Amino acid sequence: MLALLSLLAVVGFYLGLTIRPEWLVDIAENTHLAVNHFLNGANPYQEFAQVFVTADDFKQAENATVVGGQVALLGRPYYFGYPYFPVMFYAYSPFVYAFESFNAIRIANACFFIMQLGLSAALVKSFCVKPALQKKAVAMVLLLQLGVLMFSVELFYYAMTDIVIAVLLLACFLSLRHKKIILAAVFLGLAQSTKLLPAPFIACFLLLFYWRQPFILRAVLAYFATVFVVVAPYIYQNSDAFLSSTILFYLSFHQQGDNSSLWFFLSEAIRPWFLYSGLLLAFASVFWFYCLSKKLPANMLSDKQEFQLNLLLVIASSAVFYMLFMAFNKMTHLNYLWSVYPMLCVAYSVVSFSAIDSSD
Amino acid sequence: MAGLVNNNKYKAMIINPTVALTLFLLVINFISAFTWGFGPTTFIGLLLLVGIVAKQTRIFLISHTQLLAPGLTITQQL
Repeated sequence: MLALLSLLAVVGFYLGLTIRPEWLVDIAENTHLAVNHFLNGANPYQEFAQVFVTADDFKQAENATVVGGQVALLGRPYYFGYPYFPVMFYAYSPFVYAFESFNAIRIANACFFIMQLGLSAALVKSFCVKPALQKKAVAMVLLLQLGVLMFSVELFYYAMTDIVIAVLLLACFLSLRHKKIILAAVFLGLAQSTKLLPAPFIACFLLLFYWRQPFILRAVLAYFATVFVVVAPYIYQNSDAFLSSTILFYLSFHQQGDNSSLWFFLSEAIRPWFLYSGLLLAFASVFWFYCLSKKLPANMLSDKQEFQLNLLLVIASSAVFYMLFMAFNKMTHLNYLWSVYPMLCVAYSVVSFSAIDSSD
Repeated sequence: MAGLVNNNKYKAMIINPTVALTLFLLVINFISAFTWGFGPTTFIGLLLLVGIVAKQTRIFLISHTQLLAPGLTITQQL
């Protein structure tokens, strides 16, 4: 089954490269543009790197003013710059440099997908102790990812780029599993420097579950230092361009919503309740996981066991939180899901096989 | 030993891995059939996924931590 699904993924990759090589979905084309600006020494947040949006699209948007084709978001000029953070286009830069064409993004996605499968398998394996269970749980986590038939279309035809976040988050959790705390914090910082969400939530949940650990201050510092090193040059260069292209763009354009969300189909009277109840439910879910962790018999658990079970709960609760957050949002674009989907697969595979390693 | 009885009770409540895999894949393929997502179907699908994972995790934790003893793997205890 795994071999067949892998073959299907390879066929999907080949078709993705050949069906419409001159076309990419907007997110991917933006990334391709941003890489080219970056490689040419320009600032992707100050140059045009937003192919999907025009000034007219902001006429109904909150926090936006449009005057004669010029857009300002919360009073800051908007240049139609790149909407994601720098690590996203950094990740694709070597591939665009090497292959130049739009297919560079697809080839990069193939590499990231292999990394995602490898990291998720390694993470599941690290939780397991018995070889028989290890094999089954690893097979399950691979099947859960290869078995999503639209994944090949998303990665190799549309060329969605959220997979970079998934890889960085998996690397963060794998490092944490092996108690490489600073490395984990750096990976989380890199995930944060890729896109606005979901990294801040995951950072908060890690804090919630591990705030008593002695390493927490070092980890927080490493996380913020990483974000600062990546983002600060662009803020220093042109803070208006960076903020309006990224955070303010999300606070304005995305607040309009669309039919990917259930919110869009609800009446005006219900919509606010829907949004707030969703947020409440999402945070309640994390609290629920946290309470589960508190039910662990502390005096019977070694530090290692507690650390490991908490890690599993952070992985599960972060994925569950983000999916609830998505479900009740004004936009529920599926590319948001792919950044946390491998985490969900890891948690699900480990708990389904009851395969956690609790040995000292 | 009384604890072990409870443990087995909870173990029995864990969804069989093959069923769990099939269920999960059905839901995620159902969701992703709508490329960008489509309000009602995406909403229901996401809640289903959340429900499946939350249920499995809860049962797993309860069944595996009530009798957890240092030096023994959870699978050994089952």
